[in-house]
Amino acid sequence: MSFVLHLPVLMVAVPIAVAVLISVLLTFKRNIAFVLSVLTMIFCLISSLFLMVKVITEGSFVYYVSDWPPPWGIEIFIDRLSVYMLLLIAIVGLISIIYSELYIKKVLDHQKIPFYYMLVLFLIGSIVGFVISGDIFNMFIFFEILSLSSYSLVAISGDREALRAGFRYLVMGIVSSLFILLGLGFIYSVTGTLNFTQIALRVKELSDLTVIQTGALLLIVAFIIEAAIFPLHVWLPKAHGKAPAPVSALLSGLVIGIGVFGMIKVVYYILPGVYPVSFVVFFRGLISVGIILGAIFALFENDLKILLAQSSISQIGFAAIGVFFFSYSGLMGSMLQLLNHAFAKSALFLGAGAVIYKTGFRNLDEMKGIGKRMPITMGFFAIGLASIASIPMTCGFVSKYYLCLAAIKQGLWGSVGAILLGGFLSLLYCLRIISCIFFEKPDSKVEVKEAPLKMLLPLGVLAFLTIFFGVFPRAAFVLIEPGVKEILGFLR
Amino acid sequence: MLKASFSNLIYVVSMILFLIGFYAVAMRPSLIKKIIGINIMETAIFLFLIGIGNKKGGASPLVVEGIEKYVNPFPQAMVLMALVVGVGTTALALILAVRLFECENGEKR
Amino acid sequence: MNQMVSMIPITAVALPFLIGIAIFFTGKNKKLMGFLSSIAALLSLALVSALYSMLVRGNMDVCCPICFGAGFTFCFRVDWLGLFFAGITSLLWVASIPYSIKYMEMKFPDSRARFFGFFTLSAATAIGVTMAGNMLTLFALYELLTIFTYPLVVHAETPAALKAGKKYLVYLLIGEMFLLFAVLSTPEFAGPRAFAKIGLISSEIGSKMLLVLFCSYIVGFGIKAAIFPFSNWLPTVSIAPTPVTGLLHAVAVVNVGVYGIMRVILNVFGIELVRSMGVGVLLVFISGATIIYGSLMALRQDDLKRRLAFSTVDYISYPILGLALLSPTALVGGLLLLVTHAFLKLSLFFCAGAIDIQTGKTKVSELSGIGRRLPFVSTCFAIGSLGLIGMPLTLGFVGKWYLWQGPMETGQPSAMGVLIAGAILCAFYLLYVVYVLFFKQSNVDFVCDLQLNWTMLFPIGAGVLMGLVFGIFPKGLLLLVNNVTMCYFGG
Repeated sequence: MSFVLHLPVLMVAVPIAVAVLISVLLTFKRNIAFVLSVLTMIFCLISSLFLMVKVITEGSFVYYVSDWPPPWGIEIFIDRLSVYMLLLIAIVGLISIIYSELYIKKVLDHQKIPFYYMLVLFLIGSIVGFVISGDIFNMFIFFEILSLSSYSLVAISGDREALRAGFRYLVMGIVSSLFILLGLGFIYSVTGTLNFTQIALRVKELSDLTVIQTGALLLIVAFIIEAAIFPLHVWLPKAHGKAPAPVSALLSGLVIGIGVFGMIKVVYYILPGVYPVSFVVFFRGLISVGIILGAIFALFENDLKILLAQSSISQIGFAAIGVFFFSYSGLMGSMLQLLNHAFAKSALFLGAGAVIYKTGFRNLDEMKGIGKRMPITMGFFAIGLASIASIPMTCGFVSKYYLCLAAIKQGLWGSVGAILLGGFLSLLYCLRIISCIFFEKPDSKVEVKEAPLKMLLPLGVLAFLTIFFGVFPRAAFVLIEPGVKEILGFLR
Repeated sequence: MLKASFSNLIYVVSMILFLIGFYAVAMRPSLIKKIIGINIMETAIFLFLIGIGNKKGGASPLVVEGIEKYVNPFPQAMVLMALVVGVGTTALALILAVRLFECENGEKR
Repeated sequence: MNQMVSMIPITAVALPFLIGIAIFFTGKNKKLMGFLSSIAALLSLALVSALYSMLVRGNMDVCCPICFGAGFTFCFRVDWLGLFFAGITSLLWVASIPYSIKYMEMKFPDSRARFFGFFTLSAATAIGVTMAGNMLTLFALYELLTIFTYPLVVHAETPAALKAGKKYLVYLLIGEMFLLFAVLSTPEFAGPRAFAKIGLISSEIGSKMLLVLFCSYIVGFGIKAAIFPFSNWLPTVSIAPTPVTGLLHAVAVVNVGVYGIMRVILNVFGIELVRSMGVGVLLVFISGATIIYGSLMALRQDDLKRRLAFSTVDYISYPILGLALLSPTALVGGLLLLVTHAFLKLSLFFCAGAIDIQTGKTKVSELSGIGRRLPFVSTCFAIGSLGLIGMPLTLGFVGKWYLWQGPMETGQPSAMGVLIAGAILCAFYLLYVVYVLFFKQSNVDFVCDLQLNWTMLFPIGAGVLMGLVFGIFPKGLLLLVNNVTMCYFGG
């Protein structure tokens, strides 16, 4: 099984290589781009399954690219949590790409289609790279590639709104990546290294933590921008709302989740235990406000995709708040929420995309009673909503249960209130959508039929996974339970 | 205070540059000025990184007989990489700005 | 007590649940839909009776824990208290199926698959709540019950129904927010067989925290049991189809709320702790206020279903009052009144639905002279009303007999006053309807365009009959209720 060791690098290299290949091939054979992307994603999925078996049986491992040990070579660090993220990336990526085929043909010019697949593959490859890299500088580089492909994907349709949203995202995103660069400069200036484990070792020897804390603050703020946590979320609603549906699914399901995973990396892997209490309280406060505000915005939004994007702000807040509890249940809740958000929110965006594909409706008012015309599509959509609203038997319930439990155990009443209120408000906006699409009488008589099978199938898989992990959360615990215990060990 | 600022001149300058860039990004409505601001911020950070690796009287990091004190090459390598990425980002930003300009003025290629 | 691991409790919940999901896919096949709905109800009744016989035989508590991972355990467990509630729900579920099928066919012919799907799911979850073995399971099913009943409330899809649905959800979900907080703050809330113990909370966590938890629990469950400041959702949702108002909002859902409060006081806190905290009086006060408020509001309602719904608000507080007095006799009385209410109120609601279908009249003031046109329905309504008021020879009388001893035993004269006032008001608001039905001259002539057949009349008659039979021979029921109270009061 020694080939498994090389799989992480291949999971970065293959998508990026295929992306380059597509961009070279693009003058002829346009259909091949889709097939190649699907094959690449299947490869990623299989590799991550292999990696899962490997880390479950043997634990985490370190891999040096072409056998050069740090500080010269590139270190890749694979533990259970990163494999967990890889699995999420591979599943959501594969599903979004399969879904894309029909949707993209409808909304994009023919010349742009290969570019679309190229960008998606760049995005996937760079997310994988971000998750597995073992030093901050590689993280930065992959973060840049990730951001560049996200900006381009948001703006790919080329209409005015999308371009604006893309530009705004780009400005915020560049500031965020510059913060990472600045932060790693600060950290390097005191520790003299960028490798996670070496930084963690050096930090323990330091007496004055001011510089390190500044660096950590900069890194966390950078990831807060990327994860769209409250005051720095302004780019998100338009960017996710105006992008093509499968792109929204990828961005909302994975990319902002990656922002939270970046925070986990900073807080637990790179600089464990250097945070003064005021830091933590401050961030928890911000995130709590974000959870509630995002849900309130969603409650009053009419454009379905923007509504879903607003709800992402609230939902990703749940994932982020668990990071700052520094406890087992809190991190479990965080990781489960990442899974919930990856599956459920992607399902929602794909469902909204199916409605747009079939009818062109974007506003909730137009969609009245559409659940009766497209019962299967909207049924899957409703399952996604149930998970976002944290109804029991979906994985949203499990994640919020752990988060709330963690907050109560530590007596953080403010966070308890935010989580409960946020959950309540999420239920309200989800029920608003449900009552609109299922129970209200339609204004117009439009003949609508069920979405095509190629779109229904990905949606169905996501809906199934949401229910599956809600009823058997144990399936996810295999990876995250020891994984969380391992990274909590770094704190000591 | 003043003396400390002078001895750390490179950091002070990079901070000032960073703030100027940040002001342009945050406050100026013009897209091109925002992009220029981004580039100023980038330059400021490069300066900062180079400053970290600098040693007083250090030679450039090439192994030559008789020289003991080198400047740290690692930040310089980082800056090189970041420069490349920065050029890419700027290019994308400019493309978006141009397309947006075309869109707003109703011009089609 | 012996413990026995058995799959029956979870089967009794899961099987009807799965059938409920299957009903969604029956589409236009009405026969299959009706068949599956009845099968689900009958299955749950059969399994509940199987559990009953197991409990009778060995006095065991039957449990089935399913561990989903660290601190996330679902557990189904049956003891006398749970079985008591599960029995009521499953019995009345079976009784209401023929009525619902006929009613929906006449009144709401569209999207019946959705209706029966959610109807079965709701009833199954309501039974599931009473079989939960720990707080986590209880909470999960409790929230599912709220969600599953929502489509039933808004089934008519009119703006008024949608508005009622919104109000319903906002009320109940706020309650669930408090409940989730309370559940997660309770140590051992997710422990397997947590309800086998008495006193999950120890007084060590501080009196302030204890009070906060107690109030959160009471608000959480009390909103579903429609206690006073939070009771307005119940009359609002009487806009739903009658089987829903009858089975779910007069029996299953409110009973689940009462069940929750009983679990909290009997298992989570324990009688001793509640006594030492002195919060029993608080609960007496709340339930007394609910009784008076519900009765007064019921007097003012002209809409028959709304009147009955307010009467539910009033009546469902008797078991809570019986519990709050913290005396075994009062609890026996409360539980008996719960049974009375379940049987008779279901019949009354079904009568109202039958009158509506037959004549299209929903207002009390329009009902004059109907007694002669619909003698069977009206007679059942009259007997049911008398039973609820507590006439001798009905179960209501037996229940009140025991309940009224409670305040005397514990020396709470104010509770006595509430009971007397409640009984008088109850007589007024129910007997007025009977008076209008039989004795008021009708000046408008109306036509009965539809013939009711036995499928609708049978459940009405059966409910009233059971109220009478248990009133005359209360011994078997008393035995069951005594089993429940003995678990917590000893002796």
